[in-house]
Amino acid sequence: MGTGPRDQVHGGVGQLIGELVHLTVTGILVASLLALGAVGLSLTFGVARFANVAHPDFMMLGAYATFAFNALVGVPFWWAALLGIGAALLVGVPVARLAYDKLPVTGTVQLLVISIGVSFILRHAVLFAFGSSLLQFSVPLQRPYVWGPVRLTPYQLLTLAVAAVLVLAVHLLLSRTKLGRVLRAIADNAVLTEIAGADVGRARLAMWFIAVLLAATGGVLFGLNLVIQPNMGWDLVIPIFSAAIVGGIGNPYGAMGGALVIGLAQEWSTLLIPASYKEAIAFGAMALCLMFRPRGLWGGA
Amino acid sequence: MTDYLIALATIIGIQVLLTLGLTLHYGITGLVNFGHVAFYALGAYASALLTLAGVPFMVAMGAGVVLAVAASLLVGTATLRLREDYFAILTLGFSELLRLLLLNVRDLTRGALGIPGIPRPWRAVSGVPDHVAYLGLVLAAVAIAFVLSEILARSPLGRTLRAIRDDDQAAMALGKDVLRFRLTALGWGAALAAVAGSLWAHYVTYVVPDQFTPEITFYTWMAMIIGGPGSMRGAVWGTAVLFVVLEGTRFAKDVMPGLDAPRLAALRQIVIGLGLIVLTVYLRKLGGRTRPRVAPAHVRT
Repeated sequence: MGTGPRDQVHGGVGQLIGELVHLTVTGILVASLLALGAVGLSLTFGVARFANVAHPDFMMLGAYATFAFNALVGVPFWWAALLGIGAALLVGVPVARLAYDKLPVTGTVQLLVISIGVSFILRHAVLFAFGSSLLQFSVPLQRPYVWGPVRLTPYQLLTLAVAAVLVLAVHLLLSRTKLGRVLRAIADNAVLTEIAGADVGRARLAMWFIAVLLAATGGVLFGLNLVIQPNMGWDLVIPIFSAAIVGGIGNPYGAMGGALVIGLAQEWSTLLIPASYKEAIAFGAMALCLMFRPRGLWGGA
Repeated sequence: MTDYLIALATIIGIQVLLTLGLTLHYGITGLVNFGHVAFYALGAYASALLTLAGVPFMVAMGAGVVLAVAASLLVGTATLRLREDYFAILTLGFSELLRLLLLNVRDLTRGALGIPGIPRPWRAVSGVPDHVAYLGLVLAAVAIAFVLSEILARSPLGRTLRAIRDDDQAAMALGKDVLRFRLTALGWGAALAAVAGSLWAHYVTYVVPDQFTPEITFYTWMAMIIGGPGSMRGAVWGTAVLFVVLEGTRFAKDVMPGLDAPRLAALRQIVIGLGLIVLTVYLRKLGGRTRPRVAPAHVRT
């Protein structure tokens, strides 16, 4: 997120506090976008047991499908978003099923290399179709609401709300439903779960559905607040993996907290170092976490 | 046409050095290095900056090698204890971080402007054209690297590295210092990549961070997979096949008129992605660590 207009508070300390509040709000916004990617990534890492580098590209799919309906076909944004997320699911879920579940490979390294291939294909298919320029949804500009030093546009409020609702929904799904129980069981021990008679194939289909749904929605919200380009998924690989790893990979709840840590750390860091090093902050957090707290800041499984 | 073939051979030769390095990393030792391009970039930039400061070519190249090996040992010490997929993500992140630094430390690297005017060594060998002499230099480097790599792979050190790749716990039980051996392999491979980077910089006489994207890493992976990981001869012909095919796709516009250059480039990347997937499935021995995980999730099994 770019730094918006500064708050009107004058003087040293007041200005610093205003700045800090502004960065915190931006950080929480970034975190809600990262969380939509990181929760799905963490879920698939726990259940399918490999690092899906193509996961952030599902965000790009959602954003570009929405752009196509919205700016090219001319569908109003809200309908375009729904259609776009649907289209991303129609492409993303079969691709994930085919590439990660159906191929006769099982090794983590093999699946990792395959996910690099999937990422190449998705990114460049979009590049082929839409070109490499920065694109924007056609949505009306909106005035921000101002509460003291806090300024939020309705789109930003919507982003926070949608992220919160979806993350809560995933929480309820994992903790309250049979599917959630099966997914958690597979993450613990896939072989035993299968022996116990659970339909692992169907659970994995549902898992990819959830992962792509969250990511595509995150991508649409990303496009609503910023501009989109074919590399957006690739550029999000490090921040999203950082959020998932800081939160304890394989632990979708942790990923929400991890996203918050990364989002805030990235924004707060701009007080001290140039903004172009934001990505380095995410990488540093991930590296430190893997070295000293490899199970994530919150430990546990 | 002859000039074109000489240029192609020079580029393939430089790329073979990269593939030989990755073969030492992954093919022999089983290190999932997704950040190979970082060592290439360090070799290129160090060599470029030093020769422009008046240091002789060979010394500058040596400095690049030292720098890349030091970086590889630093990265390796911090991350080699981790599971292989974490190592993969961290090395990928490291290479992106380095590119970010090259883009932003403008006082040293001129950022996105790049460094032009890097001198070629021995500009005038009597009677021999510049580019032919340079091809000779590259081929000499490839020959030396090939022989050294073969010797290393066949030596007791190579046997230990392969033993670590196949079962690191057994190697550990036999009293081998697994981390030290892995670092040795990482350092040798990084050295080869740095030589390649230096040769690249002085060949194209211009370096810019955009030349050092992760795509270089994955081209190298693909070349290694084509030739069969673990074989030095395979590294050579795998690289040659990949680059001849890639060059061949440049002529695709004769078959598919009406496609502009960016679209053709995107198509090439899609082919690369498909190739990675197909070859990974076809060569199942790639990273076939499929035995059940017994250690805790964050420890390398």
